[in-house]
Amino acid sequence: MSDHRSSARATLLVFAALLVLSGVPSQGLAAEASAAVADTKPSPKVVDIPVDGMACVACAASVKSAVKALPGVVGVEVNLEKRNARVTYFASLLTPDRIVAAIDKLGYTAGMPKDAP
Amino acid sequence: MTLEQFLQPLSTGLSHNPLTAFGITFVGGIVASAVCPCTVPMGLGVAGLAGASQVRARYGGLQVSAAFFAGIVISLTALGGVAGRLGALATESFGRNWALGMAVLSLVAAALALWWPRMPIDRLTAWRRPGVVGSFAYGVVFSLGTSIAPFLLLLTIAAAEGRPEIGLILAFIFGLGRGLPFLLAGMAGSVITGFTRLGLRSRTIQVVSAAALLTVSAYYANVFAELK
Repeated sequence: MSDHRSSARATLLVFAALLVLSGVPSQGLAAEASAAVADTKPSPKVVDIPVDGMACVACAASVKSAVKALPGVVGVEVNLEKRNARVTYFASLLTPDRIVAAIDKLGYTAGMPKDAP
Repeated sequence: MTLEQFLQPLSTGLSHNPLTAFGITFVGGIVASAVCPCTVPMGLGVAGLAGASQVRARYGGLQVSAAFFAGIVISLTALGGVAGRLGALATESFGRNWALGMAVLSLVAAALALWWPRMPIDRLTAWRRPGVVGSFAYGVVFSLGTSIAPFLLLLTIAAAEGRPEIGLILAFIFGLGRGLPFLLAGMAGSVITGFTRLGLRSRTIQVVSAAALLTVSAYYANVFAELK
């Protein structure tokens, strides 16, 4: 009776060990695969663009609205104190020149974009 | 030429020629009004507010527009005294709340323009000139968000001088220039109402005034939505 029990335990242990061993490589592969996907996913770029000529909150709102409407823009934060716009965008879809042109078109003067710290 | 370039001579001329610097600051306030997109809708709103007040009392329009003007000047002068903390007024989150506040205030003003003339005189007297006080408060709130960028630049220049009293004087003078177009708009609204009062029914003037204030409310509601 006890032999049966011990052999059943041993079978279970072997089975469990096989399950664990078979799972490890697949998890490793899954991790590698997700890392590969992350590598192909483009990361957004953040730039600070100086904007001259903004007077008030309404100016900030129109700059934000115009830049946000550009394809590839993820976020825009306009600061009236620093007189700049911090733009987060996908470089594969948009160039900084187009952002500058969109701001200039509103009647403000956009300066050279700089990578945000 | 941008407003920043217009105000730039102050950085060198403030200590050498204060009178010229004060003149530039005053004109800078008027130029800030000219370039600020809030000026036209708000000017219409103040003219509407003054027009609605003029229907009620002979000098009501003048008093209301003068109170709005005083609200701007006194508020900006006070802000000049706390220059170091003004950065908080230039953030987007403040701007969103300010635009929402302006939209609500303008809506309330539009409702009052329609409803106020129907209120009994004794209740209005009990409120102690609510039009003047309300208009002053409206001017104070308006001054917090409008032209904040050139105002901050002005105070930065004054701060470089290392004399706080110069900041106060420049803020006061800038406020005079910034508020002047609204004083004129309010006076124009009063005069037009005065001329047309005999020919038009006062109810028509109130409806037009309320419509002007509703336009201001919609304008700031749109600013709020764009900043979201």
